[in-house]
Amino acid sequence: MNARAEAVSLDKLRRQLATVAAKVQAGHDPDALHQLRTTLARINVWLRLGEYGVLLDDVRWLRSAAAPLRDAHVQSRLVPSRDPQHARFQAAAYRDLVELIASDRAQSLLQALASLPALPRQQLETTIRKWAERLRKRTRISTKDDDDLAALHALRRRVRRLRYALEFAGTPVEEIVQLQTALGDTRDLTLALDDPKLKSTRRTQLVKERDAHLRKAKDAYHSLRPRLRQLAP
Amino acid sequence: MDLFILRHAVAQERRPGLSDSRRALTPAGRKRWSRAVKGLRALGIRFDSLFHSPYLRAVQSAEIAAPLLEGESIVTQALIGSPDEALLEELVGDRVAVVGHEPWLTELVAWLVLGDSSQGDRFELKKGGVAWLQGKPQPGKMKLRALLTPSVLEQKH
Repeated sequence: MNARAEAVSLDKLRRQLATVAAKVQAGHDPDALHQLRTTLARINVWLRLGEYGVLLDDVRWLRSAAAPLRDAHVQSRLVPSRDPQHARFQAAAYRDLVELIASDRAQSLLQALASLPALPRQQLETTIRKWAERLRKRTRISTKDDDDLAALHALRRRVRRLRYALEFAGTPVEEIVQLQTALGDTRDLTLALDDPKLKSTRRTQLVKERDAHLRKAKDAYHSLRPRLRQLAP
Repeated sequence: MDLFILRHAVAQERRPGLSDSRRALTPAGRKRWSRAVKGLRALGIRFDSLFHSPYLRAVQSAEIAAPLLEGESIVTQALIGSPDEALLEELVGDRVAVVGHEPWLTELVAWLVLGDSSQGDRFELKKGGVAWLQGKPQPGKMKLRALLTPSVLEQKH
């Protein structure tokens, strides 16, 4: 790891959060929504690294407020529909989110984030080693049943945490990004397959795509393992 | 409701160049508050929700008290100023904890017990101390069950 790097400040992420939140409030923009969720996910990881567990509930609250709208966007992309109910649902979910961003709790969260000192380098590196070891030791990538799906999503979260932690440390790992992307795509397709109105031809196509992403995920994980051993020798 | 009013633990002194919101707990303050939290645990005290101010010393104090929490923690600006109806509306649950600052916490105690927040100076809440109120969280409707200093809580541990 980069021994000359300093402690990791939250300032840049915090400013990014304020900027994307303002963009979301300015208009229904799927890109801004995606940036909001990924910024909050990064802040979530930073807070875990800094052991500020009490603020995780607030971050989770705001991120989950954006989840229905994000899922609706993904669903529209994968299973296009002219059902006016979809559009109404998205409009209502967007209004709810804008209201929450303006709320006291969201503003209080921003204020709390501004009070936090930079993360000590040593703490960051110790946790990265711990997370890399956990990831190396336990992984199963399949979708045979609900337990497998739940495990897959838990794995995706662990991969995402390690990826962001490594980025904070200034040592991004491409194989982790590939694994996270493949797992994320698998998740999106799994969600799309939940739609009871899905026509059978489209369902067959989506299952094929999901299985292809799963194979990519397995390949990405195998490529990643040697790097995980280097991070946690 | 059982309402536990926790004053943050001992923190860095004010000094030029250090914003008030960024004053951290001292190492001694952290240790002492950790022992006090163990004392609260030994008394069987648990929280369904924990509200805390956004200032660093309150965030850190809330973090140390988090093992007593069986529900959600919520950050609120309503704890960095004199108590008002907006704060009371937020406090929902059976066993609620708030972590904040003086003089606003004793103003809150006075308001809830005596119905008059201007009488806050009749109560003393040390850093790392806890006021335990019980009843309906409305002005003048709560009883003061205990005012626990850090040294008392440490003995319970």
